[in-house]
Formats: sequence, C-alpha cells, structure tokens
Amino acid sequence: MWKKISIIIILFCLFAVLQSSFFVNFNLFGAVPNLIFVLFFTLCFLDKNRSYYYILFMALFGGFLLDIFSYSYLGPSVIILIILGLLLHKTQSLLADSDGNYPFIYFMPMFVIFLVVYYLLAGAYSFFIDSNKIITPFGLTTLYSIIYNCIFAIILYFLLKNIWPKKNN
Amino acid sequence: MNSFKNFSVSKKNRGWLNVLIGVVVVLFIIFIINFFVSPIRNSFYSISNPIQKNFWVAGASCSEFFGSVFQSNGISQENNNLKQENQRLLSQLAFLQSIEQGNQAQSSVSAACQNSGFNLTMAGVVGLDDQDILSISKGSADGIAEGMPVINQQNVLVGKVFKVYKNFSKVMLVSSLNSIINVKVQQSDATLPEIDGVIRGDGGLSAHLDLIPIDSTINPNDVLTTSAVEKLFPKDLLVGKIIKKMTNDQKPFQSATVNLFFDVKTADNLFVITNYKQPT
Repeated sequence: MWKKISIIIILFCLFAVLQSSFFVNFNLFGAVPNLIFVLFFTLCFLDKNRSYYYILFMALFGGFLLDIFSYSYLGPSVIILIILGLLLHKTQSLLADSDGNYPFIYFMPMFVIFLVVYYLLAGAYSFFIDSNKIITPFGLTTLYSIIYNCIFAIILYFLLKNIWPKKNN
Repeated sequence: MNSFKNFSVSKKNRGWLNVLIGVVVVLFIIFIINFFVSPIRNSFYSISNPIQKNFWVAGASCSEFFGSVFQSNGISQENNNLKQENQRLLSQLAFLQSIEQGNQAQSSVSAACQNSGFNLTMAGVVGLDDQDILSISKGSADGIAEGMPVINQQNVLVGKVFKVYKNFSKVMLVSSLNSIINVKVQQSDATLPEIDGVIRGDGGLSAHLDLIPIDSTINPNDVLTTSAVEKLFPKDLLVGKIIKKMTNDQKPFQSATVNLFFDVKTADNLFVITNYKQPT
C-alpha cells in the first residue's frame, strides 16, 4: 500500500516537472500535454478497488501540483479533479464488463469526454473566480491539446495496465 | 423500527458521507493553504528549479535534434528564402546608410537615451504553463517587480513580469490571451511612415496583429516593434513579423497573422529590465 502511494507521488511529481519543462519544447501548435491529468485519469480508470479515498488522495496531490505550477490560487484544480474522479467512479460502475474490468474501448471516449469537461470546469473557474480571467477559448489549440493528451493517455494506459497490477497490487 | 430503518439507510450511505466529510476537510485545507500560497510556491520552486532547469535544457536539445531530423527537407527551401531575404536586407541597408549620415548625431543620442542605463537582470527559464505564463528563476529577492519588461539577448520582447515571489517570477508572454501591446509596423520600404497597431495574444504561443487602419498598407515580412505609445515597454524592442494580412470588409481595421520573434524553445535565459521608468 505505502509502496503504491510512494510510486504515485513520485510519478505525479515527475510528470508535473516534465509537463512544465521538458514537454514545453515539444509543444504541438502551442498545445502542451497535461500529464498530471492523464496520469490521474488513467490511475483512477484502472483502479480495480474503486476506492473513494484513492480518488481523493490522487485528486488532492495531482490538483495541488497543477495549481502549484499555475499562477492562480491553490485549490481549483484539486476541486476539479475531485469532481471528475467521483464522476468517473460513478460512470465506471455502469460500464464494467462481466469480469469487472474496464476495456480500452471505454477508455478513450471517456478520456476525451472527461478532458473536455476538465477544460470546461477550468474555463468556468477562470471566468467566474479568477481575477486575471485568462480564459482559453475552445479552438484549434484545444483540439491539438486533446489529440496530444490522447497519445500520452494511450501509452500510459497500456503501460499501467500491464505493469501496475503485477508490481503493486 | 423507524430508527432501525434510518440506521440502515445511513449505513448504506456511509461511503458517500465519508466522501462528503473528506471533501469538506479538503476544502477547509485549501482555504487555509491559500493564506500561505507565496511561501509554499516559492519553496516548491526552490526545490524543483534545478530539476526543471535540467529537464528544460534536455527538452530543448531533444527538440532541436528531432526538429533537424524531421525538417531536413525544408532546410534547402529555408536556405533559399534566407538568401532572398538577405539580398533584400542588403539593399535596404545600402539605402539606410545614406540616410544614416544625416541622422547619425540624432540617432546616436536617441539610441543612447533608449538603451543605456537599463539595468538588466538575467534569469533562467524554468517552466511554462498552458496559459503562456513563463516561470523564471529570479524573484523579489533579486529586485524583480510586477510589470517589468522582459526581453531576450536579441532585444526581442518576451513579455512582462506578472507575479513575483521571493525566488522566482511568472512572466506573461506576448502570446498570452490577456496580452495586448501597442506596436509599430516598420515597413519593408523604409521611406514609408510607421503604422501603429496592437499585438493581441492568442494563447498557444501565437499572436496576431490588429487595429491596423484600413487605409494603411502592410505586407508580409514587415517587422513589428514596440511603440512609445504603450508606455509599458521601452520602444523599438523587436516583437515579430507579419506572415499574412487578413482584411475583412466589414471591419474598420485590418489584422494579420504574426510570427513572434520570441521562441520559447531557444529561451534558456531572459533579461528583466529592472529600472525602466515609464515616460510621463
């Protein structure tokens, strides 16, 4: 359990640093992958225990890192990830197959939908609460961003699906 | 019986109740933690700065390598374009040299007023968030304050300091959605007067030129520099060049797509002008 939590913390920290430094140099028409969101979603999706505490912990830690690297208050990303985590938890209970697994065919559409909801919630926060109101409109950059994030999500999904349960469960 | 029923319902919803309590606790922690946002961010950046810097440099090197591999086909085309541009610039240079003699004294005084006396603080780039806000490795402890202009070593405008912490700062790039900067269009033909306009950030490291009077003529490759009208930035800092003009008959102004000179991939170090005083 502690080993799993430690690995999650290290992964989140590593991905946060990579996202804001390394991958900036690989921006796709200005879009940079949101690796923390990708990791959060994939871990939540693949979690077979479907524990609320697990979701809360990851939302707290991942959201905190997202907020630390932003310019705004601490907290909005935490709240957004909690909302998305709980939504995903509820949605998944309807989608599990007979073995209790969540096949890849569900993963990609759900990832795209949740990413769009993430952008909407982040936009709503910027519009209603953030004093600087830097609101990214939906446009081509958002589309590139979704495509870019999907690539990382696919890679991470297959990596974690094959490695994660064997080593940590 | 009734109380037993209530008990069984609450037991069923215990999971949700626990989540609710957890969420309330998290919200409370978030509320408290925001009173200490500056020291928390500063401490975090102090720890992550060396790692981020290394990743940034590694990313830039990898990007350069892959860029050269994937864009090898375009190099010959780019070389031809550069040759043509070089010839055009040489002809302009010859023309400007003739003017220069007449204006030399005045120009040198202007240049001295403009460029001398600027205190520059060099800062390393450590990160970029998805809203075109750059993190640099100098903060209030190094004399950085909000609103200070940030340039690179080629005198290209990068943006302005947006938020300052003790050991690092956030810089709003020219391409940020909230960035609007007055610029002058310096036309290819130096005899023509400069045209005033504004650069609006589009996010995603891009921007466009706007509010160009409909009767003014702008052309691709016209260079954009900061204007004295702005009073937020020193004038004549390089900003970008026009790629393609867009004219809409229903609008009273012209706009154009712009290639910003500042490239985040090559920005290892930037310079903050710490003593620029806005002209009164």
